[in-house]
Amino acid sequence: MMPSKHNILTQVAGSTDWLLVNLLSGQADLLDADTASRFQKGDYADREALFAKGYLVDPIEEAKRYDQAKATFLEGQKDDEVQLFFVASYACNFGCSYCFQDEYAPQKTHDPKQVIDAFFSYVDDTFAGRRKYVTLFGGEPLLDTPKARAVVEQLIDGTKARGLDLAIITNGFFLEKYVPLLKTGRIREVQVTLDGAREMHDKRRALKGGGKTFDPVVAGIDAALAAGLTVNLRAVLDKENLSDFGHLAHFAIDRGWTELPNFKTQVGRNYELHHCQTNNTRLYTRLSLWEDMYRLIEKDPEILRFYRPAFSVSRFLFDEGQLPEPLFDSCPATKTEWAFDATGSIYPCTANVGKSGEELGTFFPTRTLDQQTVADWNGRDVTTIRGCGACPNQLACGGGCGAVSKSWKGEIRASDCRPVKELLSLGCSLYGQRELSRTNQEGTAHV
Amino acid sequence: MKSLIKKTPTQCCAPAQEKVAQCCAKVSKNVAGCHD
Repeated sequence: MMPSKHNILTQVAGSTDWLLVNLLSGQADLLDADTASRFQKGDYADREALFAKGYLVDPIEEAKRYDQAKATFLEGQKDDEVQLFFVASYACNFGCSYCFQDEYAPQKTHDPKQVIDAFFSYVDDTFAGRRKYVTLFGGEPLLDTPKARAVVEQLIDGTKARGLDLAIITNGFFLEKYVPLLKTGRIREVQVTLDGAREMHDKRRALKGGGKTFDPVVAGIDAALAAGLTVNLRAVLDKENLSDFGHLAHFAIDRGWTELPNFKTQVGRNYELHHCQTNNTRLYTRLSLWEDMYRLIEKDPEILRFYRPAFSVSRFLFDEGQLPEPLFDSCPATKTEWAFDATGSIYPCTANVGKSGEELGTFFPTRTLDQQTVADWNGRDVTTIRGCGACPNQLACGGGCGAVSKSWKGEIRASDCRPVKELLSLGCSLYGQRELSRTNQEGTAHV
Repeated sequence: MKSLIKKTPTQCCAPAQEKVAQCCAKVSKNVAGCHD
């Protein structure tokens, strides 16, 4: 018997306890410091219990379980819902300080009506028999122009006719005006961004050429929620605005948003996707953002009413009482995600839609597809990514983002690592309080 | 050693072939994709 290749052992932040997690066996345990220390040295007092939980394994048997789990994962991925992004225009009325599309050159687009007809025709043919939904992205898709409105109308009609949901990602500035139209569609959710309370948001997400945006966006969120539309509120965070995140949380709580079933939240890290930012000292790493978020929540736990960070698989573990399925691939590009734009081009995902050189083919006026590049994206998982093979975190990380790997390491199948151990340490501390205190009071049995 | 697992894998699952579609044991992605 040997220790599993998939054991993740990490000390819980602010505690003497240790967390032992194994995504392949689906087990998670708290260990006291002595047991953890002995485990690390290979001193196993109760080998049988450790074997039963898959922390100690027969390597051949574990390799079989790994292959079986991968087959199950791929089977699930094949049946999973596909998210189809459509970008009618990259034009935007905001001049956000961190826009990742700001270097995109203006492109020659076709007549939007013809392109959208061709998009739906392509979807009908290519994704027949698959569960799917459409997401309207930009640029800013909800501009207050007849052209933008016609695009939204056509997408609402096209999705409704096919029994598909439509999601919309908007800056929210004209959302209030669009709510009556959106109410006529099968709208899964509307994603809107607020980067803090009024002053901070207006500083970071002003109109092009200047102009405040907070109040119109809030009016749009209010109107959408009142109309029964689901709003997914996003905040893009860096060192400039993290300290204001609590103010945003209390604003949402005081406004009653967090009590509504059709309100949810997400956080995006401000980071360099395609190019360097001028003010990049404000950027967090994948770990430092969540370390600061942890400290913020420690000081103000009310934030959890507004937003509950995942901290890798921690939140899932404590909410569900189980671990998620092993994640062999965290990159959905060309598997459960595709992107299309009004130039008639096809892209792997939302991270690279519109980026010159990332096109996989065309859906209008003619249909083409670079099968070799599609196969390169499609085959990206922790068994094919350079660097993932020996990593114990691989089934929690999934190899990260293929677009980031390609941008910064020059190849799709390079690793884009998540700080899994460190995040588990923080998450277990935050969400496992009850378990930890009971453990500390009662003392854990030694293995 | 104190287990944090409160459910067996089958508890939240319907028939095996529907496991992935119905089982709660998946981490869902955000609508804006998952490039970070």
